[in-house]
Amino acid sequence: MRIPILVLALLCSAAVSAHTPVCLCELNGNRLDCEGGFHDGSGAVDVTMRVIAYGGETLVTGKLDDASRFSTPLPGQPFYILMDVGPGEVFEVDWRDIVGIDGQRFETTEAGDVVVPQMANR
Amino acid sequence: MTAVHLLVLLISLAGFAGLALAMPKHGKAIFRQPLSDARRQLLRLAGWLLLAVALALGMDRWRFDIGTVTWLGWLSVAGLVLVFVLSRWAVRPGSRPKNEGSFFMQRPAQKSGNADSESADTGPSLSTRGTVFAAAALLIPLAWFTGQLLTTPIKPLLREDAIHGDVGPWSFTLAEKEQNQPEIVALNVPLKAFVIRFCDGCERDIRMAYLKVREPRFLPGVGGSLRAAGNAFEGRGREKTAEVPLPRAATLGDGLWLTVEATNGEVYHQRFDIQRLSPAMARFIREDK
Repeated sequence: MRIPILVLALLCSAAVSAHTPVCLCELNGNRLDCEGGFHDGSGAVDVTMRVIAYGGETLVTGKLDDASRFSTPLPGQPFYILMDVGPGEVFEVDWRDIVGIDGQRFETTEAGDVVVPQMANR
Repeated sequence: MTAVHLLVLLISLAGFAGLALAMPKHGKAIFRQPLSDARRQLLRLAGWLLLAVALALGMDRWRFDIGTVTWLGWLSVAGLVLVFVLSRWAVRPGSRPKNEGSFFMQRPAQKSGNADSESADTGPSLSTRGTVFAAAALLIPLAWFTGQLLTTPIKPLLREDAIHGDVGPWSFTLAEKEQNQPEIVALNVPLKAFVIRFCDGCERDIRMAYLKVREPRFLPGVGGSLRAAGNAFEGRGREKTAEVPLPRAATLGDGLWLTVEATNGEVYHQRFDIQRLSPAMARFIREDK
C-alpha cells in the first residue's frame, strides 16, 4: 500500500512544482478587468493582486475572487499589476500589456523615463 | 561530438581487451603461451583503468547521468565486438585445442576414424543458425543504441548556444530548455522555459535566482528589496528551470534579465539579448508584431 502512495505522491509533486501563474487584463471603459490563473488552466482564487505605480507606490491591493477575477479603476499614471502567488511565483502585467489600452497613453522619453502622464481617462 | 563517442568506444574496447587478455584462456589463445602472473595482473589493471578513463570521458562530456548511460551503451557494443573477435581468434587454424567446441560451432559429422584430425586442420565453421544469432545479437543492440543516440536531444546546457557567464561572484550556464517557439498556455500567455546551472558549491550562497522579460522591479527607496524579478528557477538537482511568460507588448529591446539574490541579501543582475539567449522567442516577438 505504501509504494502506490509513494508513486502517487511523486507524480503529484512534479505537477505541483510546475505551476506558473498567468494573468490577462483588459480595459473596459475606465476599469481594468483582470483574469488570473495558472498555466494549466486552473483558477487562482484568493491570490493577491497589486496595482503599483512606476515610482513604487502601491495604488490598489486586492485579491482574485471566486471566479479568479479582479477589477480596479484605471490609474492616472503609469503602473503595472502584480499577481503575487508567493516568492518567485509572480506575473507582471505592465500597462502596455493591457488589452485595449492605447500604447501612447503614458508618454515616455527616449530613455524610457515617464515624464508626463496624459489624460487619465481618455 | 562524434569524436568523443568514437573515443569512448575505442577506449572501452581496449579496456575490455586488456581484461580478456588477463584471463588465462584468452591470454594463452592470443599469445600462444601462458602469461606470467605479473603480466596478467598488469593487463587487468590497465583494462580497468581504460574503462574508468572511458567513463570519465563520457561524464566530462555529458555529465553524470547521460555520460554513464552513453558509456554503458558503448561498453555493450565493445563487449559484443570482443566476444566475437575472441571466438573467431580462438578457432583460427592451429590455435584451437582438439576436442573443444563452442556454442556457435558445428563440428562436422564423424565419417571416419581420422575425422578429428581433419577438423583440427580446417577449423570448424559457423552454422547458419549460429551466424544469424551472432549477427542479431550484435546488430540489434547496436541499431537500438544508434537510434537512441540520434534521437536523444542534447541537454540544453551542453548545447553550443548555452551562455556561460558570471553574475556577481558566481559563474553560471544558462540556456533555453527547448529551441521551439514559446508554448501558448492558459489565457493565451506565451511561456518559455530556461535552464540554469551555477558553479559547484555556489548554490549555498544563493537564496534565489529569477528570470524575466524586462527589468526587475524593486520596492521604493535606496537599496530597496526585490518586488518583481520574475519567476524563480526551481527543480531538483543542480539544473534548475524557470518558466518565463512573454508580455503581450514585449519588444526585442526589453531583454531577458537574470536576477540572483544572495543569502546575505545582495542582489545581482545581468541582461541578455533575447535574440542571443532565445532565437525562438525573438522570432515569436517579431512575428507577433
